[in-house]
Amino acid sequence: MVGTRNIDRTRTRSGRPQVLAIVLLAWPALVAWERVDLGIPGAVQAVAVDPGDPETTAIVAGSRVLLSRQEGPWRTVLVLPGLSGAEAARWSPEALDDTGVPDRPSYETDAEEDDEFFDEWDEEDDEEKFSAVSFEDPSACEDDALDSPRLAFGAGTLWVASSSGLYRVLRSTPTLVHAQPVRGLSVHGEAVVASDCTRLWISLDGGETWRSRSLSRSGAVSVHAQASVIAAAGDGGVLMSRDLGRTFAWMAGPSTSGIHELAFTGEGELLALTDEGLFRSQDLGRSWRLEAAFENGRRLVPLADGGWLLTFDGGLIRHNAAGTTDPIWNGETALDAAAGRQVWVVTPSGLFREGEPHGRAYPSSPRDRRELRLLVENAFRQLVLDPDFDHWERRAAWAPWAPKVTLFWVGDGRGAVRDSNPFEGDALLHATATDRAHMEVFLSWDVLEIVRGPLRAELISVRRRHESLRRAMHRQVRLAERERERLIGLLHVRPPRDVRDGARRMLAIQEIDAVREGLLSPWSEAMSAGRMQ
Amino acid sequence: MKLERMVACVLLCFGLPAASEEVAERRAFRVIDEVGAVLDRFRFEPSVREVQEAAIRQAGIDPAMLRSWRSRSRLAALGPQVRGEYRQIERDDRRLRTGGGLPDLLNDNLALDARVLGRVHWNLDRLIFNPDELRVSREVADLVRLRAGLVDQVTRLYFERRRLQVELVLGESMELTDRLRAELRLEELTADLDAITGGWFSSALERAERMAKW
Repeated sequence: MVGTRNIDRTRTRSGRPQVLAIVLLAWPALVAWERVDLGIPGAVQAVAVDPGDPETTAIVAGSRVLLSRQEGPWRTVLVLPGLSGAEAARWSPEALDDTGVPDRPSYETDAEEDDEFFDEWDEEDDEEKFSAVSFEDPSACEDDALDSPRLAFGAGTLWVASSSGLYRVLRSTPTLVHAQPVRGLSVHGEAVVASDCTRLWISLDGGETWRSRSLSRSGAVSVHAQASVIAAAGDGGVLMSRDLGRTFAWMAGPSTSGIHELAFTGEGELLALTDEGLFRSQDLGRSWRLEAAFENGRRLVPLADGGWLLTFDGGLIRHNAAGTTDPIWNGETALDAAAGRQVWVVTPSGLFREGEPHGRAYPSSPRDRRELRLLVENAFRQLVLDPDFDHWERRAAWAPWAPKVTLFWVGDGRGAVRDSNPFEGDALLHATATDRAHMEVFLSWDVLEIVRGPLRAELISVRRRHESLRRAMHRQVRLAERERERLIGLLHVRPPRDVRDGARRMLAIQEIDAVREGLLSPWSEAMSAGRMQ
Repeated sequence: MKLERMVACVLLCFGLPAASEEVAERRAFRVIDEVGAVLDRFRFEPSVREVQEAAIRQAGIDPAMLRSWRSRSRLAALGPQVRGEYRQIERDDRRLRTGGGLPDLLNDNLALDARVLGRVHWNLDRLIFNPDELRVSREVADLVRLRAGLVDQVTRLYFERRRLQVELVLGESMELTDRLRAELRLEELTADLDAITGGWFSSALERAERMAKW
């Protein structure tokens, strides 16, 4: 049963600035979300879509694994053993913190190169091959189990990794494959890779036969079957196999903190989610580059089309195979996500799926990208008085060819008296007077300036200053729009509890409005007209 | 208030879930109404926009001034450099010839030269492009940045103050120490805004108080 609720799309959140560094590169498409009402108790914890059949979706709600095909009813296919008390408390809606109203955002980008060495690992002969379920003492690894169950589809089979073990659901029939708390699960076709706290488990035939390899404090795993690559996070690095698990080599990890998630992209790049952020390796773990620094990443979900989804405390980001990155869910924490024909997102308030893009927005919705850009450009022109740098450069290039004109006017007057023998009485006095005026015009060119050309360095410097200002304005306005949208969305997702909460949230929206309007309408009419009070 | 109407519209159009949540819905609307009533208490106080503009004025950032800088730098080269010069030279040349059986002869030549010189100079290249335009542009960019910082600061202070006001209104059961602390912070924020706006804010508050009494 699907109840329609259109949820917000975009948001930013303070405290995880660098996420926005990648988010801001693209303006999110309008996405409408439908709330999926399951009609069963228990918080939804995980979701997966079968890449081979995008109409098939699986979720974990409470302790039940449910499957739905072609928008049919949800059928329970597996009941997981009860969650521990701590885990159950963790998933109760009351325990989830109120997203509240954050401080105003300030975002910076950061990136660093991190070249690591490639260290061949001598293959130890500790490989085990078996086809039966391995039962060890589950309590030994309980602390290392997954926070929440994880689902994955491969070759028509649903795989469920949980703190009670690894399950295979084939034709709605569940089978316990491994009775150890599972920490990582990755499925690609018939290749299944899972990890518990001590070993890495690999099956290349859809779970019929398995081989394992010891792996100290193993964690996240990822398999890229087409490229025959398996990556597994272990204690102190990444274990990499380029032949689907026959031989392995240790690679240094991207950061000192543990790797929570590993995922191969369509191009064969490896993404790693750590406490420090999202890292990318283009050479199968030899070197890592920090893609975005943040602390609250949750799930990294590779998609069949080569893109990926990233859930974090502030929402959900979708990276498309085309290379664009969009924040598509905002307003509250995204716990898990999946994508087939549409994106599914699990949040503390329930399960949502992406509806048809309808172009309709909230009354408070951000203007569309083009309109917003025009508004910012208009404000920028008002503020910096519309400098046209190309025109400036042309003018500066032609200016030295214009002459310097000097006009002289000279007036000369001369009077002379010649007196010969003034001591004698017969002095001869002779006087003359002349008067003369003339005008001169000089044209001069500074050849040095013509040869040197315009002062490009100065022009570039000023241009850069303006561009930086323009970008800062764009960024600030976008952030304000998104934050506003997020807060409005929150009003929908979580109506105000009381007057204090309502006032706090309304003032936050007003504050963002004030910042936005201060940017978009830089001068009031009175100020523009010079009527200063 | 516009924002409250918009929030109510959001809740009405999109936020209202199924009938089972009608109670929550009614409560949400009641909360919004109450929030509107609380915020309405400050309707006579200067708006944030007014405070922003007062701060900008106080900082001497004036759009007319910026426009004037730009246009004057562009047209300045129309005015020529003018130089005037007057030069006067007086000469007295005396020559005495004596001896040789001839009578002494004295020649006395007096001369007065006067020169008036006018020089008018145009840099036509500066009519096409004046490097001062770059300087002006740089200054304008700095001022705009300053303005943005100012608007940001004023907005923060304004809403921090408003939040505190709301807290004081809603926190009737607040302990005395907390209330005193909040009152002092309110005073501090008011003083900050007053300083940034050159005393405008406090006078606007006084006007607001008078209006509220009427």
